Amino acid sequence: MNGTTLAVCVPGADSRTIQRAGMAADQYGLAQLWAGDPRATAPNSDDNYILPALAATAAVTTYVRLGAFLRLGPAVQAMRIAEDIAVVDAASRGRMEVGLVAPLATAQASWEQTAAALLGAYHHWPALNGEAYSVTPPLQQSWLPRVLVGGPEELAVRLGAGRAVWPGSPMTTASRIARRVSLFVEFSSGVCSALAQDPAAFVWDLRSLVDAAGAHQLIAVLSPEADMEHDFHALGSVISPGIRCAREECEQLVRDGWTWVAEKSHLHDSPYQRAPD
Amino acid sequence: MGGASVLEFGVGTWSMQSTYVHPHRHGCIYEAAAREAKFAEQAGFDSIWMAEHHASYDGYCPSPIAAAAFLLSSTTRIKVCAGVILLPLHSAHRVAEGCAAVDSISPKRLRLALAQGYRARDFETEGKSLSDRKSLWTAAVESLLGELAPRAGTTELWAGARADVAVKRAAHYGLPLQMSGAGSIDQLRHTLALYRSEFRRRPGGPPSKALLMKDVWVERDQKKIDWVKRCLTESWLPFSDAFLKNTAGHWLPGVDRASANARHDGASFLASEAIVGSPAEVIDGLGPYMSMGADGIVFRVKFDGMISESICPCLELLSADVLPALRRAA
Repeated sequence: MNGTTLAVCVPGADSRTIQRAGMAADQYGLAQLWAGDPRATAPNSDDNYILPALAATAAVTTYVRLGAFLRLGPAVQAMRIAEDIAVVDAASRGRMEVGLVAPLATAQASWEQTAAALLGAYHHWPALNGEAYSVTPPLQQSWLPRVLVGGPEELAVRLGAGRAVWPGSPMTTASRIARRVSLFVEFSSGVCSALAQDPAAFVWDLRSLVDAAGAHQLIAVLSPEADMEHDFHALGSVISPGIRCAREECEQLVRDGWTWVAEKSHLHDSPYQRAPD
Repeated sequence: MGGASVLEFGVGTWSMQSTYVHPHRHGCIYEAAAREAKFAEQAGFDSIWMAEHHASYDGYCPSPIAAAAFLLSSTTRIKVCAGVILLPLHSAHRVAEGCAAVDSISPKRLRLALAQGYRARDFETEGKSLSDRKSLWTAAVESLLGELAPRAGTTELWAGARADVAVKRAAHYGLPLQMSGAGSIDQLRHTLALYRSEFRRRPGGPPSKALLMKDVWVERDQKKIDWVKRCLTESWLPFSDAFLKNTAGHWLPGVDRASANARHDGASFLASEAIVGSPAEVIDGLGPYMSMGADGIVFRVKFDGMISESICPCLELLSADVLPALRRAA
């Protein structure tokens, strides 16, 4: 068994879809929702867009952690973004995380300064009058969890960040032990489509990818047009148990979970009234 | 009456502060704000109002659009208004993107009262000077009304202003006006009249709209009334400096600015302008303000120290006893 958690990301989704994804992730027991685009190319991925989207999502979710992939472009107002993060963290009672999307190597030096200033803003922000302030409200958690997407290992070390990587990315053993590793897996045709042919084999391959990366978190990358209801159900009832369970029970558990999702929808709604959270 | 045909009644100001008066974790403050917003919506108010400052020890809300997004998704119908958003401290692009995010989930429910700001620290943390606020405000407004208007979507853009020159500017751009209630009734009449006359000079366009914000509290128990008045004075203490220093263009009459007690005297004066009492007393007290011709009132009931247990009964009395009388009188 391993403790790999399951997160979901929907690059390009508008805020309404982000919110719905958050509710579905909460409903199906997923660990985290990531808003924005780890490749920094999709629409609706501006830093100033996704943080209000996550604030709206905080209002309608309870447990799912809320992550923002931040580009920190040249025109970004770092203190404003840090404040947005603090407000979402307060509104979500400490569920906020950030993913820092590193630019190309030629732009990394100035980007790193911005990223470092943002991460440090909760303790020290120099002002025009020579005083130093800090962003308020204070974070509700003692440390803002962060991962670096792209960029060299040394950059992640300097920013105190874990890594979010695509399959096949080289990772040193030291990185895996010291900090969190998240692994992106793309479901471009949807989760149910990926599982339909041979769910057990598919999940077994996912486990191999997770093991090879030493990943603590699997980030399922979905399309904004994904079937939110069925895909999230499959993530919660098939993928999530399948990557966490003992190896010897994986095949049967995945087949049972897939049958539950795909063929037993008549049993999904309990006739008992659901207790309020 | 004013330019609009239906009076609007809102409540404010949710600033998300954890002060020395009422220290509390911000997670609880935001949760309470959502609860109070739902209550205000159920009580029938048209809008709830928030505010903005930066690098305040008490966590004064620095991100009005993100906070508004949270309250909008906590409610279903009521408008959520940033009154004000300190526009010189946000790029127009940032504001437009935030509006777009909100618009996708809660269209036609976000309102931003765009103000210039007055507190030096707000500007210093952004590496800007207070002296740049007019040019920054103007440039951002022109972008938001121009090339960024499609991205801002259905967000209502208003102006938050007190000084004559800022009020004229608001009218020049055709923006509805959120008026602070601080100041004598003659001053407020002057501000409203100035706004309307400047607005009329613009060809065509929608009619002007102006809302007045006023400190109000409705309560029948005299002990509670006395307590609320003391809390209101305490809540004005950190801000009375701004009025004493004339950054907003208005001096407090009768307050000796050189006195060691100037801050307390200023806070007492500002608190004394509140309309506090039984429903009948509040209706009487609001009479002169209603007859000014504003298009509605934002009742500032959410000030420091006022938590759900005190605010919700006040909102109930406002909704059940005061608003019907005000609507009949109008």
